[in-house]
Amino acid sequence: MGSSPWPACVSIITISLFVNMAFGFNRLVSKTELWGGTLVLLILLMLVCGAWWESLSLETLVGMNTAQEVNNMKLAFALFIWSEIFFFIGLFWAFFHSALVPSDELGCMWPPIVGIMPMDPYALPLLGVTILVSSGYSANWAVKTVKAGFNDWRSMGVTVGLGILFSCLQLYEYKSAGFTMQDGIYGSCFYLITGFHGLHVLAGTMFNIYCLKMMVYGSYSPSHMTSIQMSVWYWHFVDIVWVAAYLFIYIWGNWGMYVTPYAVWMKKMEIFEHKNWPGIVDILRFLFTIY
Amino acid sequence: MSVNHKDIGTIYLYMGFWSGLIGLSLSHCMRVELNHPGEWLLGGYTYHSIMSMHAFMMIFFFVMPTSIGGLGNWFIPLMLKTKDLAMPRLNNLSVWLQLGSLFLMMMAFMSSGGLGCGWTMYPPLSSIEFMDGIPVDLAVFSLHMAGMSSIAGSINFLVTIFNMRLGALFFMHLNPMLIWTLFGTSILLVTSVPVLAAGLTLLILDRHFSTSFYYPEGGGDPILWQHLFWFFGHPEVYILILPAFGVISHILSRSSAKIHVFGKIGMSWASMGIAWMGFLVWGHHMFVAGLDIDTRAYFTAATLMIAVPTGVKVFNWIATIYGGMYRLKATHPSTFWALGFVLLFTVGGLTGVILANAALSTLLHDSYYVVAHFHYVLSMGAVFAIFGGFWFWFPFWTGMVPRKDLVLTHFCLTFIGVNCTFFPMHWLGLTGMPRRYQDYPEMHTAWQAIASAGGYCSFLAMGMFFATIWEVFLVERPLIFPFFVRSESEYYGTGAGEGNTVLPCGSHTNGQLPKFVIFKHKEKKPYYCTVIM
Repeated sequence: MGSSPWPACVSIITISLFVNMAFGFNRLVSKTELWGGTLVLLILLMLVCGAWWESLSLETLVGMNTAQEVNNMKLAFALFIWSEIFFFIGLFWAFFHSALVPSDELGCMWPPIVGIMPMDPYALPLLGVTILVSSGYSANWAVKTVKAGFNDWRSMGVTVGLGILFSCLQLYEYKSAGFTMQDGIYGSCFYLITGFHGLHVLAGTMFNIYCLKMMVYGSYSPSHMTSIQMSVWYWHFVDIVWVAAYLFIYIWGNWGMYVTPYAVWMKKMEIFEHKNWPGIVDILRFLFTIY
Repeated sequence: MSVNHKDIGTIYLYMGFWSGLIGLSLSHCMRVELNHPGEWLLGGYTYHSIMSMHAFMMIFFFVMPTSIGGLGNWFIPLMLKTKDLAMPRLNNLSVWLQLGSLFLMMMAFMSSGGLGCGWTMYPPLSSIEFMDGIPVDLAVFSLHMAGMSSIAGSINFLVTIFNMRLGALFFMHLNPMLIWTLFGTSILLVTSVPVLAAGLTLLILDRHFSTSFYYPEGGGDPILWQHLFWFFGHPEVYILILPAFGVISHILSRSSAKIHVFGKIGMSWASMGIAWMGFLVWGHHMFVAGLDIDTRAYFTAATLMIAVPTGVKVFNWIATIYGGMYRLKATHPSTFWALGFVLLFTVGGLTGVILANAALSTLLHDSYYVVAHFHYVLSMGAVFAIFGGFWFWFPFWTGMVPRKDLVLTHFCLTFIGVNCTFFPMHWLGLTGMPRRYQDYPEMHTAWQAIASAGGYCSFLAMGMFFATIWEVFLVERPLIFPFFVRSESEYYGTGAGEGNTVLPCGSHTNGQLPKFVIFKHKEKKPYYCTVIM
């Protein structure tokens, strides 16, 4: 493999981004410079990454990537997803550290006793989960069509569309939320996890759009479909993180607000209403009553 | 811009040694200040900046680039008998990101008086109220870049080790210990660095975006930072030492004229065991943070368990030496570094066993005892392995041989210096001297003075190292008989199967990938052989 200027460019742009942020956050340069500089550098980074990606595609097209090299790239991408999983584990750690044993300042409750109006998890967020999980199914459909030998771009189009729909939904949710990131640890954890998840959705959607373009041009074949496989893996990872975020932050986190433990207990206790000894069905009902 | 693994390995080695010199100089500044009590040379903030930078430089820019970047890049393709790593361009990205990280860290040190919060950067000291300004932010971003570099490099190593071995070389039969230990290191890196990234991101958000992750007033907790940091931090110290373990296995087996280290399968399992268990013990850095008694009991027990595979390794090294050396004076100078490692790392490991106990840690936490412990395992563990590995492979890299007496003088001066510096720290810690303090009560003056004397000795030792390097490049003494054990010559060779007799190692090796064949005759043990087809 010949030498390439792109890694050096990525590094120099990254240094510039970080220096810009360091100076900007500390108000040593104007806000215009911070925002403008970050925007320019991010665009530059996208261009350089695009050039790198183009090198990769050209190498594939000329046949430089042997079967072993393709396996290498798949394993590398899987390991990258592994590292992303652990990044989210770190973020969720922050959430659980704060929510499992809520501190005195919160009133020993989660959600905190004052200041936060949590969202109803069975309203808009449920729609979001449904959209994202469905997009996982459409992504699998896309891979199946490619494996079968025909590039049905509608499947990937549905995936991209659902992804964009989810992002718009989340944006609306952010705008209409009853709390901000600055509202204590609840707001901080909520926007941290949903925000980073959103960034990953955007990245995944961009990857999906690339695969959509490839499918429209009919470039995939059963023996050349690595990028769409990687894209769908990444999309599934994004989906699973969202399901976890939904279950732990929206439902478990807000448990006392819309469904109180007392109400659940009373419902469980209903098995004793007409009998002295519960039967098997009653025991199962006791165990599985959660709402 | 180069994508050649040897060039990239060399860049890492240069960068590592340069940063190591900076780290060493910073430590000498501290030792001069600590020579007698009172704040007499440096201001308080300056002292703490120097101390924090010493740690950052040594950990992230000396030990990691040299042992993982340098040795890993050089030897993983050679020992697996393949052309290069799996993704050479990504390898280039790793080294460029590391250089960028070094740049940002130097910027952090040079601006606004540096950062005085220690390399552990605990909030609230590292929060915006107490450490306003760009140094902490630049240090955090530097760690982000170094983390990206490490993750990319680890992914590269893992893919190469998993996928690019020769056809029939089953995983358990991977002989080179350096491959096993770098494999463990890479798994540790790819799993723990993202958690550090998470913690660092939360710190930046707290500092500039008014979030409450580490502020109790908002419901957050500074202990959260400690959890996130040490969940990375503990695997980090195993990352620092595991490649050193591999290097020592190589040096000792060759010096004892053995084909491989004693009990090589046990050594592989021990390395994997240390790597895996390293994830389960981070709480032993937090024994006085107010954890539950049962939590402390668990972390004590788990930490003590790690001593078992480590002990397996030490015993196996000793068994490797047994029956192999007839005259120490005649051995390769790197043997001295390896023997020093086995002795001094064991001492450091034993003090680690003492610190593993939560009860004792209550008294010894953040005392000089801890400083003594980790400098024994790092300054005398990782650093000895780096120097040993450097001289071990120097003829392979350059085709030249240093003057043995100069190398041994450097070794002796270093040995005396580091022991003089760090052994008294055990007593300092036990008598109550806290770490990261610039001033101390007069009762500690004697041992502090001895420690500083050791510091001056290591300063001389570094001068000796320069002299050795200068001499070898001046004279260019060629190597005539490379002392390779037969199985090794295959992977140091150019792939012809019988090894390389021409050193230095060429730029492009294994260009014709050898085929790996197993001959098996009835019940006998399989016989491995490489052939060029």
